[in-house]
Formats: sequence, structure tokens, C-alpha cells
Amino acid sequence: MPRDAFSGHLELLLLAALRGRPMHGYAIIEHVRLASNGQFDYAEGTIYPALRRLEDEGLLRSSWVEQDGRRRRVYELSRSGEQALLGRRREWERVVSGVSAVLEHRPA
Amino acid sequence: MSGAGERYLGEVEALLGGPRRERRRLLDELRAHVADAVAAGSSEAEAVQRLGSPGAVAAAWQSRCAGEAARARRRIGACVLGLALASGLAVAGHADAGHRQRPAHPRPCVDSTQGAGHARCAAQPQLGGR
Repeated sequence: MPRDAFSGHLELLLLAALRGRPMHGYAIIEHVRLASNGQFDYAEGTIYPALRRLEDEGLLRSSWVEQDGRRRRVYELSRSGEQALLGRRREWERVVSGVSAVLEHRPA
Repeated sequence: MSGAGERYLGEVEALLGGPRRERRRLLDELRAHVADAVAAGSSEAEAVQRLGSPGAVAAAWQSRCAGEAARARRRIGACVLGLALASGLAVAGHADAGHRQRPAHPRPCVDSTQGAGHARCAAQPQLGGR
């Protein structure tokens, strides 16, 4: 699958990865990679500006946390982020449904 | 972090724009990311390679900064509009209050139809009286 095909949905994947539990950047990327069976293999450094953008929009909160002797920035969904995830998921499902309908349509 | 990682961070830093504190935060996160990858068994060179080219990271960062700048402009616009509306309302309220304090047709000092005015007039000393 070409990397660009779903680049517009990176934010949706990040919000979904953070649903239910806070995570730091490396864990988020590993989660997305494992959950997608390796389909989404982003340039990992580009995840951080995307996380920051979501934070700018008030959809995430973050703070530095010391774990295992290392400082990491841990992200979590805000209330607005939870609502945005629901909305974006519905939007995504509409897109998938529409594309599927076109793909399966056979002219009579 | 050794040479490869620090070199990479230096290249990214050279391409970043925006406030110093913001840039520092991104670099700290990239540094922590490499440390996590190394702790998970990758070599530092592999971890750096998986971060993507410095140009790709900087481009994603610039995109975020552009979005933030647009949001800041919208906030400023909203503030200016809010101030303008508040000023307009204040001026209108002031003018309205002025109208209420100064009626268009001032009542005459002596109004024989009103008891108080009549009484006041009646209470005035009669010049040239007894």
C-alpha cells in the first residue's frame, strides 16, 4: 500500500491509538505498526509534529514523564479528542462505504 | 546518544523554524524516541533511519507551524472583532443612557398639571405679599 494513500488519516490513527490509555511517541508508533500488521510504516520522526498539531487543536494533552530513568513526552486524549475521534471515525466509515460501493458497482 | 544520532538531530535542528522552546521540545522527543528504539533492540543508526530524512521531519514540522500560525491569526481576528463589538455596544449603551437622562422635550419647571410642581410653585414665597 503506498504510504501517501492514507497519510491524510494519520491523525485518525493517532487518536485511535491513544483511545483508552496514554502513551509516548515510540509506543504510539509501535502500536500503529502492530495493529495494522505493518501496513502503516511512517517516517517515525513525522509523527511528533502530527501529535503536536493535535495538541494545538486541544484534542490531546501531553506532559514529560520520567520512566525507567528516561524522560518521555506522554500523550493522552482530551475530552474534545474523544469526541473528535468519534466524528472522524464516522467520517472515515462513510468514505470507506462510499469507495466500496463504487468498487462493487457493476453497470447493468 | 552517540555521533549518528546527534548528527541527525543537528541536521533536523538546522532546518526547523519556529520558537526556540518549541524546536527544543521536538528535538528532545526525537532524542527520547531514539533511546526507546535502542532500548527495544535497534541500533542507533537503524533508529535514526526510521525517523525519516531531516527534510521530511522539518517539512512536517513546518506544516504544523503553518497551522498554528493560521489559528493564531484567527484568534487575533476574533479578539479584534470582539473588541470592536464590545466598543460598539458600549458606545450605543452610553448614548442610550444619555438619551434617557436628557429627554427630548424637557419638562417645564412649573407644570400646573402635576401636583408636586404645583405644590413647589405654591410653596415659593410670595414676593410683594403682606
